[in-house]
Amino acid sequence: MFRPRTLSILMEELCRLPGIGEKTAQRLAFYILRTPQERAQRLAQAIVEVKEKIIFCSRCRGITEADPCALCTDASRDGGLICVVEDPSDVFLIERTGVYKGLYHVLMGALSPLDGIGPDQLTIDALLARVERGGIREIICATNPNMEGEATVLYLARLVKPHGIRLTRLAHGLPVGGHLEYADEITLSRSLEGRRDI
Amino acid sequence: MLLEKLALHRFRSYHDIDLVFPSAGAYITGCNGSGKTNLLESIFFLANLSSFRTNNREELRNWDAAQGIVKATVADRYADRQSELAVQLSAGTRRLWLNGKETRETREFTSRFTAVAFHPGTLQVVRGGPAGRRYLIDRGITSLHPGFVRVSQDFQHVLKQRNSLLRTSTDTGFLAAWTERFITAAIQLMRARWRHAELLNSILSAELLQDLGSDIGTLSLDYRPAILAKCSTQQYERLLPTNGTDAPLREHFLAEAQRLQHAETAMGQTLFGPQRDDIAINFCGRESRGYASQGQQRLVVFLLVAALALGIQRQRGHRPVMLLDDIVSELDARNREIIFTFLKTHAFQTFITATEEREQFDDLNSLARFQVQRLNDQTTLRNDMPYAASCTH
Repeated sequence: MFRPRTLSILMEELCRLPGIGEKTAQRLAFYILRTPQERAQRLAQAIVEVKEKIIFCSRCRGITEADPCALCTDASRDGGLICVVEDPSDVFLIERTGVYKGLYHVLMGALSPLDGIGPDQLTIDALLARVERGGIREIICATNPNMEGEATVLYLARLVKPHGIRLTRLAHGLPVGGHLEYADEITLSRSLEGRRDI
Repeated sequence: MLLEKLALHRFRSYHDIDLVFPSAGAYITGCNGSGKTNLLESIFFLANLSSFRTNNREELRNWDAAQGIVKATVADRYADRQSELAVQLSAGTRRLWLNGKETRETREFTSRFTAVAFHPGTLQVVRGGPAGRRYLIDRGITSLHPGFVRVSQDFQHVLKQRNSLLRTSTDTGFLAAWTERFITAAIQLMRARWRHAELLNSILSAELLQDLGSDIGTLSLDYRPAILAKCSTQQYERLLPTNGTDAPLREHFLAEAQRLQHAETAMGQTLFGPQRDDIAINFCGRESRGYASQGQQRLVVFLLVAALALGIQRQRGHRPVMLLDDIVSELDARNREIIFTFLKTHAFQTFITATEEREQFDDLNSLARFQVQRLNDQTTLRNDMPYAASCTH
């Protein structure tokens, strides 16, 4: 099939994006082809800039344009509280709740020997350095509630507990607005274990 | 639960058949290779979405067909509900329909129909290594508690992670974290197995063996977790029951992890835990693995299947369908009598295959009778008896 070389290159690049197959790549490529020059320019510019300007915060390892990031330098936030998450995008999820007023620490993944991810691949040393600097009362583990996330919490517990810092993890339980009928047994039994007095 | 109608389209040797079954079930005869087992397999597949004789779904389709279909109408008398189930098999995919609507909810689908099976391949479980017995018991737990699939998958996953860790890293803190997670998953799995063995034992001793006549002898499962191999019976009974705390069992695991640490790092694999468990099947005071005769093994496997059926009835409140493939061959008159007594007493809907008519089946005269024949490379069924059954092809 004949296709201009530049279009093929664009489609191939789009195809590398997660969730994009060949057909979607073609649709996107033709869409870009049809858009006004300046809009296409803006898209290209945005892609280049995001790679140039976004860096990792030297304190929390979250993504930022200025180091340290706005969250770490915000004086109104509680510096004694650190929420540990796996991925930079998790920070935004928790921020969206508007409930949490402490600091963050991004691990950049979870311990998974099968994927070759050990403590050295994560930012655990940086977290320990923050702990050793003092002033931290509590670390909240907000890793994913799967096997790897849980193992990571267990690993952190061994390192953090000797410092006498409170270590907590997010509750397992039923989704709000959900229906008991649709909960699987494991979630339901965890919810029973984690029940609360009223 | 009852299988009322079954339609097969391009499933194994069947091209197109439509069958109606009475609540007693059916007795299917035919020559070797005519397609008797294929029929039972289709019923089993409908209930479990897996086969009792292959892990390769591709084998289930008719060899030259693009897609195979198993369709059925099942009834749950306790819940007073009738469901239409359909599975379509095509290259690499399996699609499910529940009451005419396509569904991805496997659990919902399999909750509509339950079947337990005796298949000559299961005999391997008695004679062979512990893996087969672990598989049998885990499969039994799944049919009682569908949520067990998660427990078992969790355990396999954490075991893989820990093994991979043992091969690649020497960081003891890293290992300790995965060891703790491994122990949690292991304890869940062990407790489920222990509870299941206790349930089957209580059914075998309190109901089944007494009902069938005291001269059968005793049959019991002795669950032997590898981790407790060196424990006395008292210790064992203190550690395993589910009402107690996990702490002593965890300590036991941790001590074992400590003891085996060097060996595990050297071998690069986990050397303790329920992946090494065995379940001894004791028949008449002896372990049947070494002592039971061919016929006795058949009886033993049948009794375990029967106990599971009663367990499902007791715990889930519905009666599974029993699939008995070639059950009577190799059995003497007394053991055949035991099986027929069970079938008459408990009256589960039963599907039996045999190579020829046998006089014992006259007692089970409410069964529909089908004769299976293979013509032009496809299986056809002839309805032999005037019971409520029809058959077209």
